[in-house]
Amino acid sequence: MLWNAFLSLLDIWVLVAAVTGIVTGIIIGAIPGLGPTMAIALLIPATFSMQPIPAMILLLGVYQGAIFGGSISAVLLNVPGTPSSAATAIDGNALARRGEGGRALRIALYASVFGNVFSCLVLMLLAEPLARFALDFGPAEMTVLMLFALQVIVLFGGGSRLDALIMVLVGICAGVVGLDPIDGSPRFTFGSFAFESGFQLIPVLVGLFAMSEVFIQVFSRRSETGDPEIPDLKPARVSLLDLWRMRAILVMSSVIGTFVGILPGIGSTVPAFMSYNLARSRSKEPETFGAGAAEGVAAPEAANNAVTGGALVPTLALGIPGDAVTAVILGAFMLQGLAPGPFLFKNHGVEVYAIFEALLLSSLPTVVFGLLLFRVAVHVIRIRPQHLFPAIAILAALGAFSVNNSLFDVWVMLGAGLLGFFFRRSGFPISPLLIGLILGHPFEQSMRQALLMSGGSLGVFVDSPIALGLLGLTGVSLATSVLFSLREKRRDSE
Amino acid sequence: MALGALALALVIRLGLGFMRGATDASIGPGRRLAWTLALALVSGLALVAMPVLGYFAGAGLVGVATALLLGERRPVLGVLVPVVIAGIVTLGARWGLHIPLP
Repeated sequence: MLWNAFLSLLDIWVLVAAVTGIVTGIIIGAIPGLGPTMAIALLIPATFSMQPIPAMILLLGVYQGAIFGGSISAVLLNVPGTPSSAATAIDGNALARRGEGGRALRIALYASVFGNVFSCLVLMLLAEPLARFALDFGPAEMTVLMLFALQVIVLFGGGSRLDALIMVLVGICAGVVGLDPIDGSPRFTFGSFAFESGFQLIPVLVGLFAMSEVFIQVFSRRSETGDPEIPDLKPARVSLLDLWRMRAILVMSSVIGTFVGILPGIGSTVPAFMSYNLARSRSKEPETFGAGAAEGVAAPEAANNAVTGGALVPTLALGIPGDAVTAVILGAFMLQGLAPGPFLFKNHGVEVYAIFEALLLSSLPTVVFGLLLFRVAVHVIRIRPQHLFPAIAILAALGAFSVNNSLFDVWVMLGAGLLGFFFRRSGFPISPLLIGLILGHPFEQSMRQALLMSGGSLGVFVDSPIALGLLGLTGVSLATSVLFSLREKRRDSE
Repeated sequence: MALGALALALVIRLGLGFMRGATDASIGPGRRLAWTLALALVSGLALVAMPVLGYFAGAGLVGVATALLLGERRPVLGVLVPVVIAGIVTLGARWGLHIPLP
């Protein structure tokens, strides 16, 4: 299987896709306000006419490139290109301000590649056995698994749990629109034929992440303040010995990033800060953190890049996305006919392993193009919103239309964009909504199938050891969250 | 009943949150919201007109409106650049990606 997968990579279009994805990702990630989610959502139409392997390699290349690209503006401007680069900005920008911006960016690049390689290896080791295990899951087990995933997103996704719960419920309600999965009767369609197939994922994604950002930019537009001040990038070198000295922190950060990434809903910002704090606590010179410590750049970058592989484990093996980016990638896999879930490895093993191997091998072009693009990215950062966001709005309309060649989807995109603007402006998290939308329909279908099989008895959800184990995990995560809240309250009151 | 309760909770939270804002201190002048709603309105009009005028005209209109509402006042950058981008995207989608645009 691995050899066949490798042979399928020996195609010039695979190389072109990998390089294009990485370069696009690095450039887009460097622009504050544009993240991997928006970039992938807008690029999906470009993959319609492509074969599945190069198409997915292009999109995953954008994902990898954008996570690293976010560190460029974090280091040079102290403005994280992606939220996960916020921890990198602390020491990265301090290094840049004392004339070591080039060194900081090189450390960020090598640490990113290290985290990426580590998480890809874990992905290759874990995803297939997990999918094989999930083949034994019936409707009851799938219901409890999805309940667990939704609960983790609400409890540990960060921010207000009530807000996250409201967003998950809104997403599930949006997923209910369309024909009933069991008896086929229309629900919330208001007599419209277009509503009967429900909301398509890609138009909603493009609306929530791209169009809502356009609205937010218009809402918060600022008068021109001149070009941002960017420190000079002097020639610098990072030797293998420098990296060897940081080996322990690179490995530990990669472990944190990968395994936190596997948990749904947490994203890459939390592991980046966890790794940063770990690096500071282990350092012999903790006082240098915040003033330009190399480990302060390496740790968060290794962690936030390691999340990419970790988050793909539940997405591909179980069909449960870990965060917004993997939700978009899940949509792209489905559009290419590679439906994520337990049967993915059984039915499309060669394609999936080819994508994994390409992710691993793309570390080389990431290093090469990362080094070449530092100086280009400096110019890209200077692009003003009024020149960038008209293009985003135009591409958003195309992205929504191209899924079904339907103007109805463009209306859905526009509606989701406006709704996303109000939600984001009000401080609601968007990822729980998206994951609720993705899981709402299969959650309802599995639950109703399980209840039909059991003649309406709820006992079906505690009948099997797998379901019971998953219910136990759900209970443990709830208890952990309550304990953390109580401890935080006690600490606040002291 | 449950849907009604969810809708009520959402509306109350949205109203409170929007006035305070997620990151900014306050909602600011009402005209900022008016700009945003104006873009949504123009985008809606462009969508209504798209089956008649075509994707290029509709997308170009949205692009120009976005640039102008973001504060671009130079005709070349505010009008010509979005129109050129709309043209490139239209040609690329129609001939490169074979998408049957309106």
